[in-house]
Amino acid sequence: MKRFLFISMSLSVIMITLFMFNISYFFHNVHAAETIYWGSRGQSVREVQTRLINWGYMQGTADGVFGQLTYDGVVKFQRKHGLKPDGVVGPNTYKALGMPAGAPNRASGGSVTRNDEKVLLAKAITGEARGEPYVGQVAVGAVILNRTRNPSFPNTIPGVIYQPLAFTAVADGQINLPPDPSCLKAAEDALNGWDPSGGSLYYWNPAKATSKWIWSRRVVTVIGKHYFGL
Amino acid sequence: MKYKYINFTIIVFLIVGLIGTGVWGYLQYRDKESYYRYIDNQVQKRYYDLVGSVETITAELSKLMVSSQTKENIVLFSKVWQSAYNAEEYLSQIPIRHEELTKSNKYFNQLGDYTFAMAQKSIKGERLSSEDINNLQQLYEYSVNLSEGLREVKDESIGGQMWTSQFKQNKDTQMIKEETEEAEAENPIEMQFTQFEERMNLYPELIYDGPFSEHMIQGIKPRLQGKKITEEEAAEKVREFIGKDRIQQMESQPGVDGRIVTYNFKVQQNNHATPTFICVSEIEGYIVNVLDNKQVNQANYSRKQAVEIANQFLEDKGFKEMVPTYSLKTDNTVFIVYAASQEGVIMYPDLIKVKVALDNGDIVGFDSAHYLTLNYQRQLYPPKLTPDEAKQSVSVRARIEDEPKLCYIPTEFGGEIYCYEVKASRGDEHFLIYINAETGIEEKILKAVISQDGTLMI
Repeated sequence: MKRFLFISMSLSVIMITLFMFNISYFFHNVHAAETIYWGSRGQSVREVQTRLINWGYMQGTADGVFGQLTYDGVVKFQRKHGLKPDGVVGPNTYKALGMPAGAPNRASGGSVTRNDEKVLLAKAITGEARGEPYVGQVAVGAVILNRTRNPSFPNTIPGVIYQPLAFTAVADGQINLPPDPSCLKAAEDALNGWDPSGGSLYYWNPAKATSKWIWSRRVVTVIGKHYFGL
Repeated sequence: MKYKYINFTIIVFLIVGLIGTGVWGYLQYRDKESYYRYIDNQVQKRYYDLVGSVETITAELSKLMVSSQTKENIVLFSKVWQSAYNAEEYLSQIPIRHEELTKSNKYFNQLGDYTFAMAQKSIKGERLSSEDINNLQQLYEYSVNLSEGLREVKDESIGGQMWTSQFKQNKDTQMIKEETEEAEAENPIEMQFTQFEERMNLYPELIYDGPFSEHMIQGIKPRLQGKKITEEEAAEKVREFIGKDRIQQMESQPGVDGRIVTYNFKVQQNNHATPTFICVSEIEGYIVNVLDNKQVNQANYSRKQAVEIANQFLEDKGFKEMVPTYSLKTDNTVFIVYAASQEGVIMYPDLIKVKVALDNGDIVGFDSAHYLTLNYQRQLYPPKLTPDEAKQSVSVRARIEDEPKLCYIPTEFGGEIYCYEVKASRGDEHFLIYINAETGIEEKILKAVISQDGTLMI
C-alpha cells in the first residue's frame, strides 16, 4: 500500500509540474498589445498624452512624441494607480487610462524620419549595455555604426544587429525589451557622430568572454566593464 | 472496499493526466520541429541565393575579360556590383561565426565597390587598363574558387537539416563564441569558409576610389602634428575648457588608442547629476569630445538662443570661422552641426558638433574629431562655372530658391569635391542640389525633411 501511495504521490508531483508548464505555455501565447515607450511616436502617444494632461499628470503639449515629460507623466500615473512605475504603457496602463489596449500606432508625419533605426539601435544598446556608464552605451552604439562602415561587416544597422551569432542580446531576445531612456539618448549621440570607442569594431566583457580569438584583437580603450578593440 | 474504490479513481485520473501530458508533449515536440524546419528552410534559401549570386559573379566577371566595349561593360559591371552586395547580404544572414567570414564578407564588399567604380569609369567612356584587367582576373579566380567550394557543400547538404545543429550548439552564444574542434569538423559549410578564408590571405589590396577601399581606411589620419603632451598637461586643458571653479571632482580614465590618441577624464561638475566625459588629444592637447548625459527637464532658451550660445562658445574656444549648418532639438537639448568656412566657402567635411542644454545654456556635448582629422588650409581658386551656369545645370522641374553658394562636399570615396550648393524646391518638398563647380555635373542631391524638431537631411 505504501509503495502505491509513493507512486501516486510522485506521479502527482510530476503532473502538477507539467501542468504549470502548460499554463505558462498558454500564457505565453496571449498576444501582447501594442506597447509604447520612450521614443515612440504616433496617435497612441498623442492620446495617452491628452489624457495625462487633462488629468494633471503631465505638463506640456500632446505632440505625439514620447519624451521626458511624457515619461514622467506616465510614471506618476502608474504610481498613483498601483502599477509598476516603469514608464512603459502596456496593456495594464492602457486599461487604467481607460483606453482600448493596442490602439493602432499610425505615424504622425507621414514623411521619412529615420526614427526606426534610432529605436532599433537604442534597443540593441539596452540589451547589450544596460547598467554601463553612459559613455559605454554611446561606445556600444558607435561600434555598431563603425561595423556598418567596415567592409568585413554588413552595411546597414539592422544587418549588423541581426547578424547571426553577433550579439548576445539578439540571441536571447533581450533586444525586444523597450529601450532605456538613457540608451535612446546614447543611440542619438552615436548617430550624431560621437564615438568614445575610438573607431572600435568589437567589444567584450573580459569576465565573460570565453573566446581566445577575441584576445588577439588590439585593445583601443576600456569603458566600464567592456573592452573595446579593433 | 471503499478504500480500493478511491485508489482506482486516483489511478484512472493519473493515467488520463499522463496521457494528456504525453499528447501535449508530442504536440510541443512537433511544434518545435516545425519551427526548426522553418528556420532551416530560411537559412537554406539564403544559402542557395548566395550560391546563385556567386555563380552570377563568376559568369559576369569572365564575360568582362573578353568584352572590348565600354557601353556593354556598364551592364556587366552593374550585374556583378548588384550580385556582390546581394551575396554579402545573404552571407551575413547565415549562422556562421563572424571570424570565419571576415574575408569573404570583405571580398564581396570590395568586389561590389570595385565594380561600381569601374561602372562609373565606363560611363565616362574610359577603357579598362591592363591593371584593371589584372585585378578582375584575380577577383575572378577567387569567385571560381568560392563557387566550387559552395557547390561541394551543396551536394553534401542535400540531406538537409545541417543548420539546425548550428542553432542547437549555439544556444548560449557569447558575442563571439568559442567552439570545440569537433563541432567545427561537423559543419561542412563552416569548414568550407575556413578553407576559403585561408586562400584569401593572398588576396591583393585593391587600389581604387571606392568607399570601402583599404587604402582609404588606412588613409584617414588626423592632420594633427606637433608635440605630445603629458597627462597632467591634458588635465590642465580640461580645467581650462570647463572652468576651474565648476569642477567638483576629476578623475582620469583609460585613454583611447584609436585614430586620435587621447587622454580621457571623468569630471563631476557643480550642480550636475551625471558626470561629464572628456577626451583630450595626446598631440597638442585639443579637446576631441565631450559627452554629458544631463537630464534636461525644461526649456528656458529658444533654439535660436541656443545657436547663439554655441557660436559664442566656439568663438571663445578659438574656433573661428565656423558656420552653423543644421540643428536638431530633442529632449530639451539642441544639437548643432558647424562646418568650417574659408573665404566664404563652406567646408562640409570639417565638422564640429555642439550640444546645448536649454535649461541653463550649458554645453553638454562637443565633438571635433572630424575637424581635427580633416581640416586644413585649402588652396581656393575661382571656379570655372559661374553661379548662373550652376543654376542652369539644375533640373527644370525644381524651383531655385536662393543664390548658389560655393562649398566643398565630402565624397563617399574619402575625397572632396568643389561644388555649388543650390537650394531648390518642388511642390512643398525642399532639396539641396550640389553642382560640381568645375564640370557642372550634378554630384549629389539631399532632401530636407522638415519637422518641429529640426531639419533632417537625407
